[in-house]
Amino acid sequence: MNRAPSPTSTVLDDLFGALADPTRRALFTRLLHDGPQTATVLAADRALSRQAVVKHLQALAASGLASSERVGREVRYVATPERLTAVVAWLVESSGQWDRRIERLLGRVGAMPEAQIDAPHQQRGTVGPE
Amino acid sequence: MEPVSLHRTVELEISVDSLWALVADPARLGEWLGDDVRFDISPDGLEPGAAGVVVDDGITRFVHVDRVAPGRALGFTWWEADGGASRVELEVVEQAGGGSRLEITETLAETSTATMSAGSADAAAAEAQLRWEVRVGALWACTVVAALVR
Repeated sequence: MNRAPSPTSTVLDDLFGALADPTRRALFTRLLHDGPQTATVLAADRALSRQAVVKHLQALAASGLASSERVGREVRYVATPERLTAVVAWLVESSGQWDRRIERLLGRVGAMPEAQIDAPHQQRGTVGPE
Repeated sequence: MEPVSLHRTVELEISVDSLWALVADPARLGEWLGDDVRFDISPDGLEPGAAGVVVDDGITRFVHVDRVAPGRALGFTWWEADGGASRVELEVVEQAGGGSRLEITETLAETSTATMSAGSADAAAAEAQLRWEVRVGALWACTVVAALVR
């Protein structure tokens, strides 16, 4: 059977993995809505140590979802959702384009003379998840 | 950060040779890769260095073939005149139970990913580099198109 399983992406795993943790998600949302904040201010709102907050912010930064900036003696964290937005947009767009290309390819294979088809079964020109 | 890539697998009930023809014969490739596919090719078929233009769903991409492993894989980079570049690898694999498999991987170019991360000091430089590459590539692809049209 001709088939095209759904797309996979390790980068999405990476980005969504960073956001899978409820505390990190809450910190990311807070930075998105309220703008740059220090770890001290962010920690004051929750039952977390400043160190624990910094660790979460560093995890967000490692996935490109946040960055830090030094303002005087303070280190402020900033949400950087651009990569997430751009990556998701690219993956969705490219995925749709490959769906159409694979559909055309399956159509071509289905139209091949029997001699070119190895297996004796009927060709199935379906596209979809496994 | 790791590169952004998209992976698709298509299992087919045709021989690897038949599938390879659908990938490496520019005329056959053109039947499914895009609405209008043109390559500047030698009589021997697609070779590394071959240039082309693919119009698909209203998007025009310039193509540069960088890898041809006969019977196994075709690799190319393609880019839009004012957009990011990405690299496509089409791999033809024999299936254990008969038939063949097409492994498609599209990877967003590093320079395109770099421009996506805000606040990166390298982003502007990377973008400038990409724009330069695209401009050179576009000029060169236009020459190819002119040659093909003629």
